[in-house]
Parts: sequence; structure tokens; C-alpha cells
Amino acid sequence: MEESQSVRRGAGAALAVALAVGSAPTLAFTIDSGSSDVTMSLDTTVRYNAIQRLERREKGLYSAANDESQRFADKGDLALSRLDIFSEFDLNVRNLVGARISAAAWYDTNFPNKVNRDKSLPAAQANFPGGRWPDQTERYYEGPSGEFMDVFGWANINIGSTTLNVKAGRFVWLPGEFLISNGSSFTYGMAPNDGLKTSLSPGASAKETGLPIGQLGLIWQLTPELTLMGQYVAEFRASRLDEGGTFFSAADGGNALHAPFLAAGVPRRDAREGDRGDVGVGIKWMPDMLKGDAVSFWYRKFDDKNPSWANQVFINGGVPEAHAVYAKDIELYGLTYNGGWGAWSIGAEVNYRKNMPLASTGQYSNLPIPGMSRDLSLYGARGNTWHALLSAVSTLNHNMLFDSGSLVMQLDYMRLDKVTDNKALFNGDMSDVAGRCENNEVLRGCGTRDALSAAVNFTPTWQQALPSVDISMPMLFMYGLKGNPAAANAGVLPKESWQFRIGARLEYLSGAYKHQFELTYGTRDGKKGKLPGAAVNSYSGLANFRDRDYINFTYSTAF
Amino acid sequence: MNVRNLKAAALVAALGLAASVAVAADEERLPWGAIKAGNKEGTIPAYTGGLPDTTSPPGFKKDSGFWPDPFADDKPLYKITGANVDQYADKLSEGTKALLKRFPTYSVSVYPTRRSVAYPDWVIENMKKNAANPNCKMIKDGLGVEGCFGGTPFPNPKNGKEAIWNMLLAYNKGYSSWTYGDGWYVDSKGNKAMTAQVNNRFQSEYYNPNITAEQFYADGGFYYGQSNVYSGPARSVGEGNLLKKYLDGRPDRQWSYSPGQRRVRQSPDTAYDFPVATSGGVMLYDEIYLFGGQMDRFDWKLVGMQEMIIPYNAWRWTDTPSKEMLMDQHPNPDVMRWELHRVWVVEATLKEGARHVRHKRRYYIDEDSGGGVMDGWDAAGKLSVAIYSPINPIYDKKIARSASSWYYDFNTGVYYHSSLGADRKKGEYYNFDKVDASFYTPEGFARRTAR
Repeated sequence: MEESQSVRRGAGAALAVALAVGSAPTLAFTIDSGSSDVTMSLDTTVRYNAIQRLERREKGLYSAANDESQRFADKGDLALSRLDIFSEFDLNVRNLVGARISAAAWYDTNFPNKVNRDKSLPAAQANFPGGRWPDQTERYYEGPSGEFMDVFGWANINIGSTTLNVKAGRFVWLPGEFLISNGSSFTYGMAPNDGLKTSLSPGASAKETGLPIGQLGLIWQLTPELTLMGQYVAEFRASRLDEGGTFFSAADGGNALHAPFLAAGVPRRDAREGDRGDVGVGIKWMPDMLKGDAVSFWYRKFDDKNPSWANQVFINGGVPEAHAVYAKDIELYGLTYNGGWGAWSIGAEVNYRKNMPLASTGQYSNLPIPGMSRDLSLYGARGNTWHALLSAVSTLNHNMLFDSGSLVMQLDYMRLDKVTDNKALFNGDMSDVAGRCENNEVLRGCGTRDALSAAVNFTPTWQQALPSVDISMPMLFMYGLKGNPAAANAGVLPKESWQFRIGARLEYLSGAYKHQFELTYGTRDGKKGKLPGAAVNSYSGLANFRDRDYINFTYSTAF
Repeated sequence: MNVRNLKAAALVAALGLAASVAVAADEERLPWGAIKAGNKEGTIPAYTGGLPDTTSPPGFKKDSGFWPDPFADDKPLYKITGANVDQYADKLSEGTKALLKRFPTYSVSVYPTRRSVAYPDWVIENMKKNAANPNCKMIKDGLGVEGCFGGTPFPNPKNGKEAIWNMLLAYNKGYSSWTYGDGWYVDSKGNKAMTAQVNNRFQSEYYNPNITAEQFYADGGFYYGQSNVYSGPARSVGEGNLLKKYLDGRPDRQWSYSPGQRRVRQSPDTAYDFPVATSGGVMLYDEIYLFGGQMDRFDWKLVGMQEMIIPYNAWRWTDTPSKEMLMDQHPNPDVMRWELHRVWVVEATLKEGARHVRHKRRYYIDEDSGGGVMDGWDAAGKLSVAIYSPINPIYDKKIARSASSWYYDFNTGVYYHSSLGADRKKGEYYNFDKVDASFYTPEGFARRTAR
């Protein structure tokens, strides 16, 4: 196992490096095949990131449950010094058939050899016995390693006056109306997400942060106004989440799927994953009367790609063990709209999900529990939920302050319609469990009936601030307006949790190259306070990261 | 420079621009509104039908995507530089004069005037129909047009907006085109950046010979469909955008493709003075092809006609690779051909209370085509931009091509070429084929990029 993994690892990295090195002398190239019917291109993106922690540890956020994560980088320490390479190869024959392969490689020279445990704590409370990193963490955080990303073929087939676009292989397809995150979108779970890339390689594009999944995707345009769409997913792949014991995870074991121990005495066992066989069908309508606007309807049945019950504790004959559970058989009905409203481009979605996994809590044993139905090991609490999002983009023209600007906004909303299964496991007031979530729901991390959050991304730009240099100042602000989402991965920030990032970006262009330098400051916080009768503070949502302000330097280019 | 020209220059300078507009009302006009006769001095010849579609200079190969210069043997009549620019002051745009004064290395080589533009018979018939049709008119205060079809809409323009519509609806890209061009800007220090390699598809149902005006307007008047897919630089490969413009006055619609997520989303209404990201801040959205936006923020005045030296019959310019074209401070003047032509002068003044970085614009539109030159001024009345859209007809298909432009920004010293086609040698293809209606839909567009 160990060996085969390292072989695989080596092959992936070698490929990405070979692609990168191979393309270097000729740079990005469109291969002259001698025939104008066949085009090939190979492009490589190189990105370096360094992240430094700016803040001292907060006492209340330091315990056996997060000592390793907190000690990964102290104030002033580098949390990351990482190189990412991403290569893409495309083949296109007359826009009729084609193929695409992309591959990624990475290496973080700063990654510590050992987990940095607080030795003053009892050894029995270590999440990482012996201070060893799990293989998963070592591979994806440290490297050097690599992997194939997209591997698929496609064809455009004319059938009468219609055209069928077929894609088969591993790729990502997220045709929703989200702009910042897709938790509220009908595309939730259409492809797993590489949360590690997002954390470890700021600046990574959507081509890198989505995890390609083996599928067949069909887009059949019947008329200019009417299109049918279909998806069949032929494998299960889970989203990647921040790993325990690192700067990027609040906790050492909780929600961190590869830490050997969830908590003292609770080892983490293999996740209970979903299956292949997700299906989705959609219809998109762009009638002339909407003048370019479009509406679509989707039905999907799928397994969750995010751990819907990340910290399930199973008492197996008195011995506890932890599993991450990926909910199966979620059904979704979604409506989308895309169009223009004045100078704004608008996207809107509403979807209803049946059998949606809800935030689940507690332990369960292999003994029958009154009032519980189905196979507890797989289900947790389930319910029917509403999800909605509104996204908007606008551009700002020249004014006294900047040359041009872009404004991107997204509102996310979720509402719990009803709890349908295993009510007693639902981590919320609607569980009807006496005493659970009876007050301070957000601070306790309890799911509420409604939840709403907003995100705004604003980037003013100064073009040619220096010769061939554009300067911009990307800013991101996300804020939880109401409640705490009842579904675990609904993409809604808990009330009063917020995140702010501000960067200075410098783009220098020369020839076919762009050299992009960016310095970003990031800070997060959330609701914090003492629960009734408690001696210590509780932290909700992003408050768990309130002592992890950071500064991030990024350089990237492509050739 | 002879004495007569000097005198004329002095006269025009004394009387101002209006003096040059004096054109006899009974002058014989061509179907597209140009004056048929030459000028008194004989420096502009009478129109004799333009280049025939049988034109075949050495090296010409039909449907190769390239058009050799049929006037390659012509020699320049004279050369204008910063030293003698004042002698030609009345025949040059403000931007051209300023460039000549700014750079001793810049020059304008003036060749014999060749009225090379020609139109197919069916387009000419439509021009006549438009002129005679009282229902061919602007609607919604110039936001749209109705009734006109398949040719210059207003051969006798009565105001500035009509003259601009003549430019917007000129037969300068044919019914459809495939072109492959690279966008380059050069900064004030001479650093050169290639910002876009675009595979462009254009189509105008306004010039679809197989439909009627009624059919055209029944669909809202889809007169401008454009799809760009990027094949470079490396960071942009697979990106793309789609643009649709209609004559019924509805807002333009744009879509963009997001690589990775593989979806097409409507783009926000980038318009007016929003700078095009790939242009080094030089080209504004409503300055694509001289003018490409909505006219509502300006007052438009048709000043009249005058003679002007503009880039013309510049096939050699089109065929020049970036290495030879892009000099440190300005484009290589030796590859450009300039000629004396009559132009329509249209002045746009920013309306009271409206916002735009250009407070005044003056367009000089070639009387025989939709190409020409523009000067732009900022709020302080300072010349801020010069735009050139040279005319190089696709002679075998009788298309008055002016499909590429270059821009000079006097504030930053950056200049921008929107579309250099010679590096990739992939050519340009006009009226080559017809795509079906789904081509210009988000799905059709998404099918052309797999990234």
C-alpha cells in the first residue's frame, strides 16, 4: 500500500514536471500539426505561495483538541512555502471531437516532518500518535507529489438539426449560478471540491480547485431555445477538506478526516462513502421573449461528496470509533435563472432537496434505539430542505478613485422544511431532544430553521499604474446574517461569522507572459461567548480561526 | 508641398472646419452617399467602380485567407513628418499631427488615392432601397434602427447618429467571417505584451442575402453576433465570450465561458468607458472598431465632409508580423499606406450631466466605407486618444474590410493593436460559410471550448 502509493505519487509528479519542462523551451504552444483541422495546445501554470501567521494563539482556542493545529505555525512562522505546477493539454479536431488531460504537481518545502504536539498534554490525548503525519496529509500538503486532473474525451455530434455534446471521463461540470461557493446551488455535489487546493494554493483557478470525477455528461441542444442536459457519475470521489494538525484546520481531529484519532480514545476508521451512480437531468429554456435570459430546471439524485456527518462516533460493543459518513440518495429539484438586470448580470437559484443530510450529533451504538429508523451508520439525521442563492456581477467604470472595478456578490439562504429521519440525531432545536439547542443556537453550533449569509468581492483596478503594470486591490468580505445552516455543508456562514481578505495585486506583462504578484491579508472571526453556566468561552463558525490572521504572498505565471 | 495646397491649408485654418464642408448639394452621389466626382485638385479621383472581384495580384489565391496588395508597385507621393506636418495640418487628424510632433521617428507616407472599395450588386440595390424607403429610420432616439436592410442604411445622413449607424452597419466584415488575430500593446518604455490570441467568428443577419428585411426584423434585427475563443496566451486558453447586438434597441448581451466549471454566464453590461482588459487601458468598450456602443451619453453632430489623409489600402500593414510592426513608441510607419480621401466628420460631445472619460470625440469616416479615424479629448480638453481603422478591401468578395484597429493613448504613451493576424498566419475568411442559429447561443459557444 505504502509502496504503490509512492509509485503513483512519483508518476503523477513526473508527468506534471515533464509536461512543464517539455513545454518550457517552446513555451505555451499550439502544436502545428500540419493540418488546420487539428489543434493541440499545452499550457502550464506555475504558482508559488507563502503564508505567514500574524497572530498569537488565543488561550480559549488552545486545548488537546487543537494543540497540533495551533502549534503548526506560531505568530511570525511560515505556515506554507509551496510551489504548484498545473499543466493542461488539449486536442481538438475541427471542433467535432477532442480530448483533454490536465495534471497537477506540488511541493511545500516548509512542511514539518513531525506533528508538533504539546508534550505537556497527556500523550493519551494525542490525535497523532508518534507525531507521524497521515499519508494523506503528507502527500497533499508536503509532496513532492502530483496527480492527473481532467482526463476526458468529447464530441459534438449533429443529429438532424440538433447538436449533442458528449463528454466522457474525469472532469468537473458545475453549470449553476453561484459565483463564490456552490453549497446553495443545484450543482452541490455534482463534483467533489478540492478544499486543500483552495487553502494551500491561493490563486488556484476553478480548473484546479474542482476535483474531476468520472462521468458521462450530455448537453443536447434541440433548438436554439431548448437544451436538454444529463449527467451520469460512474465513480465516487470525496471532496478534500483541511487536514487536522495543520494551520488550515481549526481542530486536530474533528472534521479532519485523516487524523488517526478524532479525540482521545476514539480512533478514526474508514469513511462510509457514497457510491457511483449519481444521475442528473436538466432542461434549459432561452425563449426569445426573455431576450437572452435563460431558465432551467434540474432533477438530480446523488450521494454527498462532502462528509455530511464528519464526526460520527459509533460505539461498537462499548469500543468507540469514528467515521465520516457521506449521505446517500439525496434528491434535488432545482430551478435556475440567468440574465441581466440593468448593468448587472444576475443569477438566481432555488432548489428543494429531499433526504438531505442534516447536522448530526452524538454517538450511536449497534443496539437498537427507540424511535430511530433505517441504518444509522449511513444516515444520521435527514430532512427536506430549501436552498436559494442570488448572485450578481457588475462593473464600475472610471471614476476619481480607480480606472475600473468589478463587484461580485452572492447571497445564500437555506431553510429546513422538516426533519424526516433520525430526528434525535439532528443537532438542532427541531430534534425535540430535551435540552438540546434550547438557547444560544448559533454559539452552540446548532442548526436553525433559517440561515442566510452574504459575500461580496470588490476589485478596483489601476491600469498601467506603471508601464505594463496593472495594480488592483481585490477584497472579499463574507458575513453570516442569520442562523446556522441545518444542513452540514449548505454553504451558508453562521450568524456573525465573517471573513475579510484584502490584497495588493501587481500584474506585469511582457510578451506572452504575465507575472502576477499578490500580497493578501486575511482575517476571520465569529460569535464568541460563554454559554449559561460555562466557565470558558465557546466559539462558533469562523471564531475558531480568530487568532489565525495571516499574510499570503503569491507569485504566478503561465507559459 | 505646392503653393496651392499651402494656400488651401491657410484658408481652412482661418475659416475653421466648417469651411471644408462646403460640398455642392447637387453633387452626384454614389448609392452609399459618397461623392462620385474627384476633387478639383485631382488628388482624389472620381469613383470608377472600385476594385473588380476579378482582381488577382501576384500571389493571390482564392480562399487562402490572404490578400496581396494589388497596388504594391505604387510609390509614395510625399512623406509627412514632424518637420513638415504644419503644411498638411488641414488634412490630418489631431491625433496624427500630435503623433508626428511627438515622435521624430514617426511619419505618414502618402500614396496616390485609389478608390478601391466596391460592393456586390445586391448590397448596392439594398442601399438604393434604403435611401428610397421612408420606413428605414432610427428608432428610440437612435438606440436602434428599423426598416433598413442589407446595405448602408442612411446614404444621405441627416445627422450625426445616422452617420454613425452607417458606420455600424457598413459592409466591412461581410455576412460572416472567421478571423484569427492577436492583441498587442506596447507601453511607453517600449515593452511589448501580447494579451490575447483570439479566434473570432462574426456574423450579421443584416447582410444575410437569403432572408428578407421582414424576416430580419421579426427576429429583433440580430445584426451583430460575435464569438471569441482564446487560444493564447497560456493563461487565457479556453476562455471565451459571446456578444449579440440587435437593432430593436434592446441592450447588448454578452456571455462568458468559465473554464473549469464549464458553464456560460451572462456578463455584466460592460459598456461606455470601461477599458478592455487586454488593451493596456487604451481601448474602451465603446471604442471597439472606432465606435461600438450606445450613443445616448453624447450629442452627435454631423459636421459635414472634408478631405483627410487616412490609412487606406493598407494590405501590407495587415500582413506585417508583430516583430516588424511594433516599434518601441509607435507602430512602424513604413508598413502603413496613407491616402487622401473624403470623410464624413461627426462630432460627439458629452451631454451635460453624463459621465464618460472622453468629453469630445471626432470621427472621420471614409465616404466609401465604414473605416476611418477618431480623435478623443478628455474633460480638460486635452487630446487623449487617436484611433485608426484602416481600410483594406477584400477585393474578390467586394467587402470594404476595416476589421482591425490601432489606438494611441496620449496620457500613458501606450499604444494597442486590437488584432494582428500575420504572426499566426491563419488568415481571414469572409462569407465562407454560414453557421446555424444555435452557434450564437451559450450552448453553441460552450461546445467550442472544452477547458
